[in-house]
Amino acid sequence: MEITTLVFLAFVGLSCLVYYVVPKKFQWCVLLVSSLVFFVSSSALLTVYMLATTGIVYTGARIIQKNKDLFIEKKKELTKEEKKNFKAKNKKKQKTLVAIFSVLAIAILVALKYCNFLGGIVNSVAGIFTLNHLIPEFNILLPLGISYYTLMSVSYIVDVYRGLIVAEKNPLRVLLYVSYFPHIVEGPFDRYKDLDVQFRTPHKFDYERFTGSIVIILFGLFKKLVIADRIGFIVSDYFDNVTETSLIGLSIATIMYTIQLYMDFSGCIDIVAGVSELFGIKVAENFRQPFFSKSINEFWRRWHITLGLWLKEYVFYPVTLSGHFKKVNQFVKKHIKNVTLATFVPAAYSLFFVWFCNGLWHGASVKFIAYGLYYYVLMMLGELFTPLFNKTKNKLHIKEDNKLFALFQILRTFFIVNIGMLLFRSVGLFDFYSYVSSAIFNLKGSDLSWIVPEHFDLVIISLGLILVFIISIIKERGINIIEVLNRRIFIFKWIVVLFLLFSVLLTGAFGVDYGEAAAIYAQF
Amino acid sequence: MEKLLEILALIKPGVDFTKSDSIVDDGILSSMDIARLVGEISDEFDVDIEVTDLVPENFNSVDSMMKMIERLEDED
Repeated sequence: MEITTLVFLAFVGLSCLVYYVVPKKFQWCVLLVSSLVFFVSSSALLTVYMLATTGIVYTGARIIQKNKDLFIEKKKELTKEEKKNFKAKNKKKQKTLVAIFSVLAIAILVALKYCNFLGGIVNSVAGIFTLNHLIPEFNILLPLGISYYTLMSVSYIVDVYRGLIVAEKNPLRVLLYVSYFPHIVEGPFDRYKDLDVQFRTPHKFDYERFTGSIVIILFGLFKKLVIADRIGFIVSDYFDNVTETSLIGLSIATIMYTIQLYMDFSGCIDIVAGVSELFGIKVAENFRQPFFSKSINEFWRRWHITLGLWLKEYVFYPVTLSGHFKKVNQFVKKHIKNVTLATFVPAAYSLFFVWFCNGLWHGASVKFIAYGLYYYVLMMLGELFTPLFNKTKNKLHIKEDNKLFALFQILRTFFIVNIGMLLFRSVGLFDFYSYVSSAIFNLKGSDLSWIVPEHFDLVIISLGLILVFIISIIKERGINIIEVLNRRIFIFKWIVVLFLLFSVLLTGAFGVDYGEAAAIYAQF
Repeated sequence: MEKLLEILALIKPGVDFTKSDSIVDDGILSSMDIARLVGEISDEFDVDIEVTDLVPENFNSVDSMMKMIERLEDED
């Protein structure tokens, strides 16, 4: 069930109706049933994998919680010294438990999503010793949103271990968090503590919230169906058919792909956020006008925000605080006498894992790992050369609030992101190399015919982008558009709703000429 | 306090940390800086910083960092 289809919208409408009709204490049950129906309709028997992951983290969290409770109970009877020893022992046990159950949950993801990738590596190594096809390639079907629900499940058990939340006794409540249908398709990565409190709150039907949610959903549909899918056909035509790229052709196609990906992903997130708001549940923010970023670091704080936060909380911090990191820190200090470099190297070491995982999360291939490490290398170089940049900036008398310099920074970031997107779009590293090398050495520009859109497409895409750009500027200034609409007379909001509705219906990329384009990030 | 200021000066030279009480909220210290800071504090003060300590409230001012360090020293 694609989230841009009428079937999905009808499903949401029906769930919403039941949600507000049943007694409020059963509202969470309606969400659970809706989520399971949605999951089974997309994944059928593969639903057992999701149930298994939920079972693992539920059980693990309960055992950890019991250990925590035992410590609280026992510590009253112990002397200071005994308490210290018991605490250390208990903590070690909890650490082992959280590691075992997290690994079990991740093992399902690895077995389903990464086994062919790992098998391929084993086969390549075996190939050196003339052992061909040691591990066969499996044709594995993945359940819906496996990369999303696995990481959210891990965050649940780790948060219990860290004492940020208390393990839930009712397994169905954990199942609702894991399978909640608005965030299962392509995120965002919600935290249990943020959603559970909302699931427990009774929600009355609120006209303002309801109409506001419809505006958000329609705007998401507009971004996805009117802009992303329309651009998508032009971009696919180019990358599927062009054999020799030119610099201009490849640049235009890459920028178009970057816009397509942003409109697709952020559009779907808008739909998801709007659908969830219909039930009175706010999901985490995933995009904050990323193309206004002045640096790569800032870009990743604004693009796929919840993935960055997940990696920071559950990869970066644990690595940084591990005993292993301390050893690295001490080793570096002993061997590197330059103090700046001695503090840089350990931090760079722990960030490596973050970007490696970022790449690997996107897909089981060398290309995606290279995609993550591409940003890592750039960030580390940026970090190393910051003193030099600052010195140059001072010499040129460029002030922090210089608007021209800010524009330069935004364009520089956009350029870097586009190279990353070309790598993301390429089938493999070799294709990326072919595109770039052909573009640099081919001066004929024979590929331009593929990316000249039809006149109608060009007008629609341009008008759509202008609208999104204006809205982005308004949001960047901290103005909440939905609140502004709520303050106006009700007719104004309905004009916006009708405008977006007819724009989607009349100019969306539907019909036999276009087919149905799946959300790009749903594949992860 | 002086030891902490020395560490901060090493990580982010040219910033007067004593004047700010929103060091993390204002983006003066990035994640990368926090990682460097945590490594240095653990080493210099011989304390074990937990993930739950890595919240902006503990790093927003020099005073709050000192309080966190003292608390961790007491726990040890």
